[in-house]
Amino acid sequence: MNDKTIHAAAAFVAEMLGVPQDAIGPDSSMDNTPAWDSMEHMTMMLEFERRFGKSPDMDAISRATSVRAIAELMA
Amino acid sequence: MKFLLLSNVNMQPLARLMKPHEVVCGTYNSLLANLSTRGSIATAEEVSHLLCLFDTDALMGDALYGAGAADQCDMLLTAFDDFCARHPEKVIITNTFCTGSNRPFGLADFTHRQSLKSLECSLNARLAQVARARPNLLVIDIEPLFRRYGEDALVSNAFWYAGRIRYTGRMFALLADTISQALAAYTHRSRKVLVLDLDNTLWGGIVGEAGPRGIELSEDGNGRCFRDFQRALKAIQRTGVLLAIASKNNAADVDEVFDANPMMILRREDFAAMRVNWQSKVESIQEIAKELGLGIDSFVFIDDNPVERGAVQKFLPEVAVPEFPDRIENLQSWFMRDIAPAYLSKYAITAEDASKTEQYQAKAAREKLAASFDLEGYLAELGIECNIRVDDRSRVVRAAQMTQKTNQYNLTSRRYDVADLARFVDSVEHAVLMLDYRDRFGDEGAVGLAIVDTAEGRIDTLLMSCRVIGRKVEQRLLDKAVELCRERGLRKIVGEYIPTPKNGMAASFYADNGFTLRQASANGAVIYERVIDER
Repeated sequence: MNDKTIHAAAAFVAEMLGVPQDAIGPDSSMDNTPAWDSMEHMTMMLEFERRFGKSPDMDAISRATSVRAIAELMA
Repeated sequence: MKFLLLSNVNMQPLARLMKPHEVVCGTYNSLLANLSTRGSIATAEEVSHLLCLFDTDALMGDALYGAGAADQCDMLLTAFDDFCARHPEKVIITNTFCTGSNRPFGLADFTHRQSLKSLECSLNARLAQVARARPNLLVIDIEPLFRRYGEDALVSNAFWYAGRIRYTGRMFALLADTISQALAAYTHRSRKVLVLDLDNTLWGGIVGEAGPRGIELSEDGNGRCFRDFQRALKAIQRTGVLLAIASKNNAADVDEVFDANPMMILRREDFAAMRVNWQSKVESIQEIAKELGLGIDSFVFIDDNPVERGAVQKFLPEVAVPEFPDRIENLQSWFMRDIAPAYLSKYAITAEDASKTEQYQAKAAREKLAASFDLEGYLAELGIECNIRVDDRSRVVRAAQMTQKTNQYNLTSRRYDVADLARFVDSVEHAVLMLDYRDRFGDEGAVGLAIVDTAEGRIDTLLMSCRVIGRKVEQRLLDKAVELCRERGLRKIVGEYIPTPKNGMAASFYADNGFTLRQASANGAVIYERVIDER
């Protein structure tokens, strides 16, 4: 996975959470980002599906709780 | 003004799509509890709208699998009825019962006594009954969305099991659009006039070249596309939308189409105004607006020619100018699915709506007569008959419509919804006066409205439809308001004029009718007063 994808994933997460771009980096995740709660996560995954045209399965939805995991889904 | 979003499943993703409305979300699965508990957050004063979007499959419980009764569905219907009655000041928005495509009895479901389909139908019939009795319940039929886009595109099993979210992002977006269209229709912000081109829009080909009988209009082939489009236009016209024509053609050719082409669905009398000439369509639309006495911000313009559309868009930006479909076979469905709901939809259709075109045509005939008479003679010639009804509960929908739509002859321009009007009708301190008008050219239905505070002797609202302005019927409404205050033993009556950019024509109403100025405020609002003589 390249930096460009990780960067795009971080930008997407920041946009969805409504926080500044520099608040979210490659290592951001649900654990270290207060705004990223379980509800925001579901909304984010719904928008992910709509915007990128990919349908993550139930497990992937539950597991994609970090910028890197989202980048993996994007790739 | 806040929206409260309640559901029996996770609907929270909808909240951010409802901008600019401020939406707060109730806790998970709190729909029934919030509706039925007195003092719940649903009853809070700052909550103006409740979005009660429920998932039918989840609400059905075991009934979804053909076992047991749908108790929660019954409870929800009762809760809607009670809550709407207890809170007439709030608008409650909900969806229809709409089950997924699962059928527990398979092929036998259709004829089975406990068929899911028949259960769904009976629940919806009861929901419709509640909505007819409670004008503050706004029901959105979501089944057409599933028919059009398909269950697989709108429902997600992955999100359902991962987080109790039934819908996909696509469905949430569609739902948000549908809700805002429904709210626009509910508050009468829909447009009123549909201006149509003729060649390659109402029929195929160019009448000046193909001739009045040679144009494409038939029961098969390309001609069927245009004939079905005309059928759709006729249906929308019956809901109270005015149709008009702006066409560049020889008037004689078009006349011959109406007279001699047997395939025309639309007749001359279906159009409230026609401009068939060689002038620009911008001018034609301006003339039509003037003739009908309606602002061009209530117009929609349909034309296959991008140059004409561009000109109208540029010079009359208030007119809605949708793109024309690329394929003619999509003309009818494009209009019915995309254009009519977005610009022209109604939440309730009144008797006045059904005869709107005739009313506007009668207006044109009256104006023709006016040109040949002096005013008094003209009014006598019209044979005007007015009937004023007080506190008629059956007509609150129309009354609300009038406060929302009347801009010109409206003294205070206060906008009220159906629930407000129902409150005024029920209140002993207010009287709602509705004036029906008819003359020898036709029945106009309700054209005047006054809301009078009979405790204080104050005219809160007085408005007249611009269709009857200049016929001196506004005085009759005022006389009735005075009479009601006199019966209550009041010795004076107060009237108010609040200027807006559009209501200048009503500025001198009170001064012309024996009122004296009491107070003028800096923002232009003026209070008048008149002594009520004893009889």
